[in-house]
Amino acid sequence: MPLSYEQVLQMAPDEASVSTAKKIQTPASWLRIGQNDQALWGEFQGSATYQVRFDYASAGYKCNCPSRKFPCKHVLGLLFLAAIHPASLTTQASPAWVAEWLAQRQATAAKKSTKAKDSPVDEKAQQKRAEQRQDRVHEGIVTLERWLNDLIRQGLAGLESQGSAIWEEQARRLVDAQAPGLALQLRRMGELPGSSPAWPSLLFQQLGRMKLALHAFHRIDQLDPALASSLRQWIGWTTSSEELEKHGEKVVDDWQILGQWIEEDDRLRTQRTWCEGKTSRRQALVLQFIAGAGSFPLHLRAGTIQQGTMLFYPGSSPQRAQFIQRAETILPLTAIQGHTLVDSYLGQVAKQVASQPWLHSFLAVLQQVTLATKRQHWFARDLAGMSLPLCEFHVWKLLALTGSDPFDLIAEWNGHQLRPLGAIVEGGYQPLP
Amino acid sequence: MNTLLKSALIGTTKLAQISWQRDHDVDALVQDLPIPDEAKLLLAAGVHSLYEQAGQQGLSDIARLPSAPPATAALRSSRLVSLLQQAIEAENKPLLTEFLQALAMKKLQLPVELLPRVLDFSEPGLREQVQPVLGERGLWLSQFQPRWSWVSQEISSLTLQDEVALRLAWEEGKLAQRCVALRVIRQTEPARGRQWLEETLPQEKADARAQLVDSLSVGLSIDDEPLLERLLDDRSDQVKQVAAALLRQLPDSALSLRMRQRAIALLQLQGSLLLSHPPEQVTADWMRDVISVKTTGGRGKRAYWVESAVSAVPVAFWSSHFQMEPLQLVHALQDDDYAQDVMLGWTRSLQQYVDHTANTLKWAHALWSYWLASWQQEKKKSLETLNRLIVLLKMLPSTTAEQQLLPFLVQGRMHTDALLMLLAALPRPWSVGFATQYLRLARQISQTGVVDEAYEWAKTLDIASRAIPKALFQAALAPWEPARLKGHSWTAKALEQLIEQFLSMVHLRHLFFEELAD
Repeated sequence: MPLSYEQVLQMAPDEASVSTAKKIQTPASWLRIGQNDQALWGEFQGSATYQVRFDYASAGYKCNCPSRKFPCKHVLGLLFLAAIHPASLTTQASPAWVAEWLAQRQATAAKKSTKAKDSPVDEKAQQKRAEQRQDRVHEGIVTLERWLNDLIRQGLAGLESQGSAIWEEQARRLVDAQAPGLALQLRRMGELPGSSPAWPSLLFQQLGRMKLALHAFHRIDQLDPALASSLRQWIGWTTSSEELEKHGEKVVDDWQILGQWIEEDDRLRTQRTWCEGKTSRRQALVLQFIAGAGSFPLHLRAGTIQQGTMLFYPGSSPQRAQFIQRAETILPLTAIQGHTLVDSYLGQVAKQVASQPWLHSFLAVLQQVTLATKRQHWFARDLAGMSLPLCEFHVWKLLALTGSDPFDLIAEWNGHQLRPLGAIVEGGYQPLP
Repeated sequence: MNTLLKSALIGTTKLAQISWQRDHDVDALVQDLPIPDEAKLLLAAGVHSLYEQAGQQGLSDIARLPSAPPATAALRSSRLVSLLQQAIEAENKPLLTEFLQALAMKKLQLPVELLPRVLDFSEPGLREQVQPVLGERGLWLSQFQPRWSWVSQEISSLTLQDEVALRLAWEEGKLAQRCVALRVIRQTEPARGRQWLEETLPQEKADARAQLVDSLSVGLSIDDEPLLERLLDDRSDQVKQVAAALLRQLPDSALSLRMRQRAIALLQLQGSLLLSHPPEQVTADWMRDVISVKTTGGRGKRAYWVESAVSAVPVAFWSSHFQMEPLQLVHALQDDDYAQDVMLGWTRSLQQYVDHTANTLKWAHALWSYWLASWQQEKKKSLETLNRLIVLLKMLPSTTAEQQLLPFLVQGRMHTDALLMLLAALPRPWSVGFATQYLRLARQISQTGVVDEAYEWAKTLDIASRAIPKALFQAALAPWEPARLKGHSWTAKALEQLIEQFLSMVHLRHLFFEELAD
């Protein structure tokens, strides 16, 4: 299934790559082009003949040009060509250089999964490292609690004029104490003072939630193992691939890739992709991280269905998962199942929060909603007339597409606002990246 | 929660006592913990926040949106969406204009998903092109975003049928809306429009006065003369200029008559020669009509007066006054000391009094020939002369304009920068005949000759890529074989790149029109 024009745009490492790629998006620019169910390929005459190939199943690509941009302009140009001139691509058997590359990719993937299973584990050393880390995190948390108490002692009023330095300093200490999850939460909180009229209430609530987590950490041994695991991840423990393999849950299903967005900060770009199993109805959040420009290693296309195995991180009400095995066939997403009533959706969120109080974002699939507005704010309104606030991202595109008609909305809910990620309009998926 | 938040905002050091809430069982649990008050406050906040989230309900006081009109004539082809999106992202105005005009011709509307992008256009020319293809959905959408209000300020949304809205727009609207309202009423009831204007004019600021007065150009008649004459004595030069320009458009106005009389005294035929007699001094009433601004370009006052006076009279006047053809007049004037200033006045006059009579075209042709000869003789080619040529070229019928340019397409006949400017002034798309000649030359030049020179000439491919007519898309896209030099010089590569860009643009247009035809 060829990528859409917008999806190719998203893959590009920068704007310059897009404009150079567009110059070679015509069939006339290529020596040879072809495709089949597995791959798309082309040969381009630059200073030398470059062989460009793209693997449809995993969205992997390769070009033998010397460019250090990934994907390079040749890969992007070929993908633009496939999006705009699909008729110019004839279906044919993969040439040897494409077939070899595909075989090599499959062999590497298989080797990687065997290697992960076979590599011996030094349990003693691992145990020691874990204890050391536990101690450091504990120390970090004690310091953080002291700082939080000081903050309340001095009062939150006036924080809006103090800037983010005080938050940043504490965040750095937490990174040193190997609690990057807490550091991230604190940095986000540091952006709240002064950001909206309701900032004191929002900040107080978030500080309160953090305090609950710290309080729970002191009694982590008494917690249910799944909840303890969720808490550790929230604080910033990474889950090793061995742990994931051992304790994670594998779910095989037809996975609907419902929507995704990229969260950017100075240091890191995080791609958040929400999926849902067609049969299991399990919701999975696949996170990918990259520093700086470039494209994410695993290409997940919103608006498609791919059969495969999702490996969920251990925890209570688990959300985060890795898409470890994917079938080659990709189908378009044309219909979704979700909640027709806002209150029934909020009931589901309440259940998730009850089992994992630190969850802060949730997939929302709301059917038959319409857009509504009041005092310059936007809302998704259900058939019974109940509404949830929408953030303004992509509201205009959604409004243009749907007018006042009902549609199925896919969004991320943070407890305050829905962030639209996609919609099913007249039987077709519309990405809102 | 509010009491707790208050305590947290003030800070516990400044509070004598914290007033604890006991809304839920868990409040008691928190208060009994052996931890500092600050920690208790935070825990209570966390617990309350969870309680609230778990019991959250949707909002019940949000009304439905007004019903949106269906987007039935909107395009749905995903390929067309991609092609239009490319043109929008490239901010390629000529290409976008061509695409939008093609949609309007077919009475089609833009794909709905692109509406927010085009509503964000700020360039007036593009907005004008977008307006006819927005459809009812676009108009409906524009009401929700203040920066899109330009859509409803355009003339099409205000009609004479809706008199209340028209009056409201005139009395309470912003300046742009008021101008629109005035123009609409002037279409059928010019006297009423003038009356509206006269009532408020004294209270308006200079800039607003000028813009509102300019709206009198719709439905302009001799009845507007008294008001416009008065405005020649306005405090603002801007208003005076607008009023004078409108009076000049009225052949029977006193100002037009005065200007013709001055012109008669200025240019006289002596034998076969046309000679100018600029005044030594000009009177105050002369200045009032001409609205002098300072002389420019290091010219003398008299030269400037000649140009100003001549430009204030329609060129057609001279043909009938001397009973001579424009070309004869241009020849008769050539040896006069102020010949160039008169020619400049005639050229400006042609621009101001736009009509498409055979006589005007003859004037455009005669002046084109004059300025072309003058430009060819200039040692240092002046941009001013070139700009005059461009103005005149745009006035010629497209086939005539193409014929005029054809000889200059030959490599080396004209400097590339000038050729580029003149080609850009030709109406698009080019005729099949002109485009065929262009393509023949382009292929020839790119294959033979010196690469550096071919590269210079090939810069015109950019304009050509947007001007090649549909009938020649296939011919333009047939393989090109640009000259290659040993070692791949920079220019050879750049030449190839120009050709690639040309092909890519023609291809894009080809795809668009192909898709539109289906």
